[in-house]
Amino acid sequence: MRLKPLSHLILAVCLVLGLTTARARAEITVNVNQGVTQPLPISIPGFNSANTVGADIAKVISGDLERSGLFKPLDPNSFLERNLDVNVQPRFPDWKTIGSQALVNGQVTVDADGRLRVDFRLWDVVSEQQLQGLQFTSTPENWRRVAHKISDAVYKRLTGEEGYFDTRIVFVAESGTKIKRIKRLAIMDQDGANPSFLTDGSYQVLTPRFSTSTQEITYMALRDTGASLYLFNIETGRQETLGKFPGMVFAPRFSPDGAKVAFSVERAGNSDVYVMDLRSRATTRLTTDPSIDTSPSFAPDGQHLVFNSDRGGSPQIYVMNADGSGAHRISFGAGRYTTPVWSPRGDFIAFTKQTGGEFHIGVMKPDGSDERILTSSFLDEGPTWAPNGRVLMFFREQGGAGPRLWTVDITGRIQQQAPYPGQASDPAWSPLLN
Amino acid sequence: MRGDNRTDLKPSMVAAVALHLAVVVSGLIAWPWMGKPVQIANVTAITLTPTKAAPPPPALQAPEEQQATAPEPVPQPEPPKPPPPKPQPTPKPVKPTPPPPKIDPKGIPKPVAAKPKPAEPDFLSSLSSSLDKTVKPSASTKGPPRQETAPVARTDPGAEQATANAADAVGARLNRIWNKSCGVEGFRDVVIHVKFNLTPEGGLQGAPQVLDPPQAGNSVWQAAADRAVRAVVQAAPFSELPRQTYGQWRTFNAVFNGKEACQNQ
Repeated sequence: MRLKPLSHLILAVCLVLGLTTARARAEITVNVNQGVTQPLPISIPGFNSANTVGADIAKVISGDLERSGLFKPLDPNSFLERNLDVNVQPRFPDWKTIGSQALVNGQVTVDADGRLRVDFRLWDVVSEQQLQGLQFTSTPENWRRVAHKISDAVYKRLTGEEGYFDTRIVFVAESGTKIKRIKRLAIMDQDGANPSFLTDGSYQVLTPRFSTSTQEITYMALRDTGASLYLFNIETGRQETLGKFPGMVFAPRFSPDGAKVAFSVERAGNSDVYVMDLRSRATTRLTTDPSIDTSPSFAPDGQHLVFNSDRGGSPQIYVMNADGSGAHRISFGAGRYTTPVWSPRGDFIAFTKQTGGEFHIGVMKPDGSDERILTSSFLDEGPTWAPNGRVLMFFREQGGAGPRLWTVDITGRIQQQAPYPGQASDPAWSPLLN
Repeated sequence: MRGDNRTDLKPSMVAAVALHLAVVVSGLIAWPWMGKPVQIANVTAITLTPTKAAPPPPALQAPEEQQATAPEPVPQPEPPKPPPPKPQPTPKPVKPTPPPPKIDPKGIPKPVAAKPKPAEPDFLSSLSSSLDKTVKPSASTKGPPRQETAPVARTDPGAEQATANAADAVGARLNRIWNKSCGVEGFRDVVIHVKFNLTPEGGLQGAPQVLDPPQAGNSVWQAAADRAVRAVVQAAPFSELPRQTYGQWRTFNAVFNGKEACQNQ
């Protein structure tokens, strides 16, 4: 009799174990390790508003997401549900019917104090749930930035990565004949909106580079009196020169914290890399090799620089410590490598490569491995990273049509002309606006 | 007098002209050093509160009033009752209705009107006796369960083949639908396990569940988990699965492997 409870307990344990085993056996494991890569079908109906700004905001979001190549905005004419209320769940079956997997809806109002208020929600149509809901307030004339911020929020929620839509591009706008070329500093939103000139064309400008942390650029100005490097705060319009140097100065680029600028100085055919502390204006020479060392670009941690040198006989890519020590070559492929730029993520270095009678934009790991060519044409040059490190902008010249701005994603799959109609070169992508 | 006046004004005129010239010259000098400023207005972001439950779908008739009660169990067939003596007035006045009662996700609650709690030995005894029943072959009166829609997994070789076939079919479908994002940093490090149950017709039984613990603040993981669940929902129903072997393919654990899926990209 005393053993009976124990036998019952053993019996119960065996029963539980048996059930567990049966359950495990009944659960079928399926390995999903292929998949497809397709733009996500998304619906973005015009936001409710008293005027056309609601529809305009939806168009800007739609354009942003479509250009990323990761989304496929559906034709608004196909929408079955109209006049959505941002505070009511949509009729998901209506959106599933047209093949949509995500939905962005919103409304635009103007508060009593005259401020624009935009509410939006992102819905997962397949799982029938809200993924995000945000409200933005700003001045009414700032509606485009609100739209870009919504694009960034949607992009991040659906891909997991930071967006890059609330950004701007500084570039060299080119016009005139080849003999009398006019090169002006210009700026536009990343979607090509709000283009404007920053300089008047009375002197040539080259290689503008954005600070990674502020709305400030550095660039090279070429006047009759020689070349100079400038800092330009694009919010105030204030400019200042980096000073006089014995020789030709070019290829400036900010350090990640914005406290330094690295650049090249050429004297008697020998170019070397220098770095200037912007507070003290003290300049340090980083390379002393009797060859052309140029195009320095900081790693995002500020501890290393990548640069271009022909010390090995042809232009190749090298990496060195921030104090100039430990320089070593990382590119070993056939061809000439120039204009290396370290990704803001730190995981890749973009470059221009010339081989086989063509120019290419490519990327490689900071140790030189995993080199991938992303583009090819008669002339592709000057890559600049979007702040999320996923998209590159560069300029392409083909067919004698003059240089144009293009973008390519890091896989090389999504390549398209940037939405700027004129001739342009040397793009520089801003950080995300605040 | 006029001549005197002109003579008196001359130094001041010269000074004024000089001053204006200085301003113009300084402007010309300063112009190349000043670019066109570009204003940036601020944008403030606030997180919206989630929407309330969706309103009931449009009904042809006026919705009936419902009591705001605690979550109710899944409706069970009730024994027939005699009709109530007094007829209910229709239509009822429309009031702001609370959301329809939610179905308890945990399933049917245990009956509350319980019998007197049995002592533990009795429970084990009943467990033992019930186990005896399950162990005994049920061949005597009812015979073996019909193969079609048999809910219990079998262990014979034919059953294993049915399971393998189901795994292949479901895997092939999910691989065709799963929209991976290899270009996203960190996606290659993500493996998502999604468990889902199917009905005999191959439709989803309940919502797919992500088995991995949520990684708060990891937006790449969250987006990848959403994509995996979306793939399962989109892939259903798996109508190609044979109903007669339902017992062999009811529950699946789909492993969405970002590393393997992106190794050649």
